[in-house]
Amino acid sequence: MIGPGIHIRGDIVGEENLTIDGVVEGSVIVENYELCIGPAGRITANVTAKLVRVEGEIKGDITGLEKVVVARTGNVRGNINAPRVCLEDGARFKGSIDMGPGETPVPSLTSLPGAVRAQQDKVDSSFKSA
Amino acid sequence: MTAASPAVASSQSSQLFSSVFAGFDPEHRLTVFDVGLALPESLDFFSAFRCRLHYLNLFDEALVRNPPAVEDCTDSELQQQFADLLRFPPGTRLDVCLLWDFPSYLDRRSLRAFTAALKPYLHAGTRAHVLGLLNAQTPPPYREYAIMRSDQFSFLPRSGVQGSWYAHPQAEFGRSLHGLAVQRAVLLADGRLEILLGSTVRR
Repeated sequence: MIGPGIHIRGDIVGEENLTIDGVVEGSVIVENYELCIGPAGRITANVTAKLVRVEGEIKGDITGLEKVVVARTGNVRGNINAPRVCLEDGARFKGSIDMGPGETPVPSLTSLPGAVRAQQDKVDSSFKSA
Repeated sequence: MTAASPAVASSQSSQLFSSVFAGFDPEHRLTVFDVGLALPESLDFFSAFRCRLHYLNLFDEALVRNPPAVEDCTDSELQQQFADLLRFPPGTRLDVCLLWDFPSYLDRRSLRAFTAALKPYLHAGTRAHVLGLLNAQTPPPYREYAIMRSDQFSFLPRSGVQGSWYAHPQAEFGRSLHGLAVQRAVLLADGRLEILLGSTVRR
């Protein structure tokens, strides 16, 4: 989990479920896992995960390999690409949605960091107080 | 952040909306432009399609709420400002445009500029669905619409302050369009027109 006091600038690549309640600028990839942007999360990044749930704010493109859920507190400005997209009552969304039953989106090359990084400990991030 | 308080949705039937989708190849990826907000019911409706949906919520744009005066902005500059709002990805061709109530919040010059800016994204088979105001005596509804079925919408009150509105009699409305023409129109019980538009673009 990235807590509300953390501000990350850089690319995050993970091999486990991730919850973000802090601030992230860059990109987030947890391809085979779940990504939750919590109510306090503020993301300016392209994100890729198996399942993405947005309860906070994101400005960037979202690729959900299975599903994207924008919760009632969620606010998305960007493009969503997923076989299934669910918007809960009260959710705010501005952008484009690509969806198709039975289709598995391919993560956009532009959403990938410059170099392929397979381990979370290789995260190239600078930390500062939020 | 406070969550939006739940509002009670009402519904409205449609005679023409199903015509928007008539004849589309189900294998074709449908490209849809909605001038409003994405609502859950609409996503449920479109989840049956392979589709790309563009939600731009133009109602809240300053250009719509405070249109520039003629002396401050030429027609071509106004068109360019609308084009800047309609930044679809290169190569986008819209199959369906959902313009519910939006023309009622554009004066005639802005309506012409908006449709001129939209024209490059149309193709010969593009259709648009409009709910429009005939008479300026009654304000248009200030709503967010969702698609329940191909013949029924639900709607919720739109948040924020309602902007200025403009009536467009049908003949004037038709003359204000670029790349689109009225195919069918139905007078609704509340005095608005439900309008199906077809493309005049030949490509």
